[in-house]
Amino acid sequence: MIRRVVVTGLGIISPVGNSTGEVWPSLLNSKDGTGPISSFAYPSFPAKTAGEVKNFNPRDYKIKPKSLKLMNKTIQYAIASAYLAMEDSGIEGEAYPPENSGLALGVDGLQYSAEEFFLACYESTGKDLRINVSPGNKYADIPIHTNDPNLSVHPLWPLSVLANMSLCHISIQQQFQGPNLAFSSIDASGAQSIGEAFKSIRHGESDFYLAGGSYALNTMSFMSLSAMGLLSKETGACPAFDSSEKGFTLGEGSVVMVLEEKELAEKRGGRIYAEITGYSSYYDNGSFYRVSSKDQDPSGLSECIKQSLSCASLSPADIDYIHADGRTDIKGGAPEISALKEVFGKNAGNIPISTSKPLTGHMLPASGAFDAASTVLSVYHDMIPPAKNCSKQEALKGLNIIAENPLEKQIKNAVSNTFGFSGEHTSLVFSKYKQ
Amino acid sequence: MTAHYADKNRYKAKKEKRRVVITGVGAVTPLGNDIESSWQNLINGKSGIAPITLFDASNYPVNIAAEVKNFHLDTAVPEEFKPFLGRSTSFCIKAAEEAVKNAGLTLDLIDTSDIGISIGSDEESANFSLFEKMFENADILELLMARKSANGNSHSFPHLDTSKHLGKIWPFRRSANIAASMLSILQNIQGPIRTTSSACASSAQAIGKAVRMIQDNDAEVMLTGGCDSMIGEFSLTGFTKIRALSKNNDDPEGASRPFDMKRDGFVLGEGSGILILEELSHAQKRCAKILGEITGYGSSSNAYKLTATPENGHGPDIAMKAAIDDADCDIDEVDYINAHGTSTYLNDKSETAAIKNVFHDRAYQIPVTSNKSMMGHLVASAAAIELILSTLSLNSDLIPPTINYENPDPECDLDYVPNESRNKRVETILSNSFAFGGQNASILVKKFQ
Repeated sequence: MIRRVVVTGLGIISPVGNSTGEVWPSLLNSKDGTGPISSFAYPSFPAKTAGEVKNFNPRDYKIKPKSLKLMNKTIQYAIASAYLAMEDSGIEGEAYPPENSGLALGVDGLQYSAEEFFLACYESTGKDLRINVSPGNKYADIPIHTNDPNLSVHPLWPLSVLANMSLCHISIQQQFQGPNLAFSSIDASGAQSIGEAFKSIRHGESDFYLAGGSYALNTMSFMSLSAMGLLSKETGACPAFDSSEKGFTLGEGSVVMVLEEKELAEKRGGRIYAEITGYSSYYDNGSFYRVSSKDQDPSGLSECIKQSLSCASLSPADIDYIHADGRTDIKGGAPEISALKEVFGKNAGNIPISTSKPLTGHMLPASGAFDAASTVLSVYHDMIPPAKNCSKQEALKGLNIIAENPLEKQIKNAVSNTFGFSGEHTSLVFSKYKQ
Repeated sequence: MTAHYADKNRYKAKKEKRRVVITGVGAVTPLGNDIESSWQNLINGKSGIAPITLFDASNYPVNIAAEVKNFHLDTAVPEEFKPFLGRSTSFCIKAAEEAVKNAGLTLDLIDTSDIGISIGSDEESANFSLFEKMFENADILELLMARKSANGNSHSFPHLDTSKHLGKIWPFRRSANIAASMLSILQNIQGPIRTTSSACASSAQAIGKAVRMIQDNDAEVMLTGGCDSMIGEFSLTGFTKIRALSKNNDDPEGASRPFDMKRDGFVLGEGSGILILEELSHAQKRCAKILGEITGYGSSSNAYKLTATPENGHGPDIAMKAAIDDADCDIDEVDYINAHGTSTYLNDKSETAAIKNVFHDRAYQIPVTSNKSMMGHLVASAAAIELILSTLSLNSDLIPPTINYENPDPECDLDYVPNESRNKRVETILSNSFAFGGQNASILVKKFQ
């Protein structure tokens, strides 16, 4: 007998709201979470729009002010979403023993600001700063000493930038001592973590997992993505499925879901949002950062969707809703659209398709988890939020894109796609819960 | 008291488990750029630690490390991928080539969609000289002034001009999953890939994931392991700041002294270790030589403190027990432990306690060694290389020593195989890896029968 896995809690920190109760109406009403970047200023940077988290107060999630010094925003968002997910699930205290409580999180590499890195290096050499100041610069004559306390970096600064720290903090706050996995594949890793937690429960490693992804806008990743030419320079968020090679809009946030072995969830009387029935993470090495010549080929994406359906023992005809990745492409073409047409064939025009990217921006490791959470809510509420600001391109004709108003529809099975720009694609299948 | 909903029978949910064997290994380490030379130096107790040459570290409080020496990557890499190849990824490609060759795998003859890749690695941190260039026009001064006037609270960059340095390359960071991607592209492997980033436990988790992927029918063959190259300004600064590094600059070879009373921190290393894992029948069908069988894997979290490991060893012991349970093995069967053994005061004490929690009195009869005494701490690739070296012990019945063990610490009182390698029949080994912040993973390997 295959062990079944259900979703029993959702915790969301996002540009369109900081709780499931706030996010779901935002999605249904197409509330735009993007806007001019406010958390840092880079006048010389081309990209100026992002989906930022608003009104976030770490104290709302029992984060101790003293610990805040050790936490960058990514960690704070992760802790907050884990806290919300646990609260939402109604799991009390030690319902699961610590060693049976697993955690899988998608993370995005080292998270430091250029400024802190610079200061920390100088500070540790004990040298005063020596910069090649151009003649006539107004700061040329001002000495800067690294022993200036205002310039010093917190002694435990390194611990706030390591990729795995979100997991460590959540483990401490929630007393989780089970399997503890940090996945790092940039944009696919949030969805991958949910899929891997699902597999781990199915396998019998643990009965209970928190899984998702977290990402906060930070100067280093902003610079890198800009350098890659991946970010849109437009004011305003990019339309979904846009093929005009403009690049995408960044977003931030954290989404964590509670996954439990089905019988145990039933036994404790937990509210079940949906069952997770399929997962596939497929690597399409031809589409690595769209640098290769094979980049118009949709076969990697379609293979990914097909594998997730086969994992769920479903056929394309069983799918009632597709939460598309809908990312804006940097290289023209629309591989996702071709992939959907290929997998779902004649039926493709009948299946409602939507995406949340235009409202939130691309939340990198959190985006796959956000897609998944939105899909779970659709399956639970039998309601599909519209894809606002969807491109009007020719290729979309014949597909059933839900573009204006939310659609009420019985959903038995839904697919959530997250396609990574490094070529790591992930599809998750969520099904209506039945005993 | 809340009821526990734990399903005690969850391990039984596993049906007939597919067996996972090791059929090839490859490594680039501070002791050598292949398996043979690394192993020879290891069993002879040679240290790979010396003053840093990769950049001018003379002004840093710590200026020793275990560098990979005379490294050159011969692989032909297409021009468009070259910007993605950092030092760590290059190690990984070299180690993978050796592993594939060692396994006798002819990739053209196998459906490469059955081959997966699972790598533990870190993002390659920024090169400091690039930063300095970026700030050449004195914008850094404006930035620092802004920070000063805001009493250290400023987070804004007034005029950071990156335009000059922004090309189609990625100058500041190479994300962690580049290594796995590059292996897939360069070896033309079409199967699933995974990247884990849990600091010092990364590659143990990657290998664990690889084992599960074979057991769960997601792949027949896995290239798995880790790579890392943290010897740079960033890590040297960071780890010095948290006082994790040994400051024994005057005696590089004696700096890493796991379990010794005078240990004062770890030494940064770099390198890569790659293993070829195969489903048993797949390996047997092609008459591959089998180096060992991975029978158990366990992962856990300390949920204790970010800055310290629990003195009572509770956390790491959960991972060890989980690996032993997963292998359906008895604690009496384990006859060698390849310890995490970083040479920090806290880790070695906590690990010793954890081993005793799991093995009780038997702990004193099991040889426990730390390869880090010679290779330093290879961070994300540490677990992979240590597992490879343990596998070699399994095949040669020879246990490498823990060098620099001179002054016994009453709190670390196990048999650490001091200074001289030892001949001993080894059937089952346990390899431990524990990360900063408290993530742990243990892997159990058995002689194949």
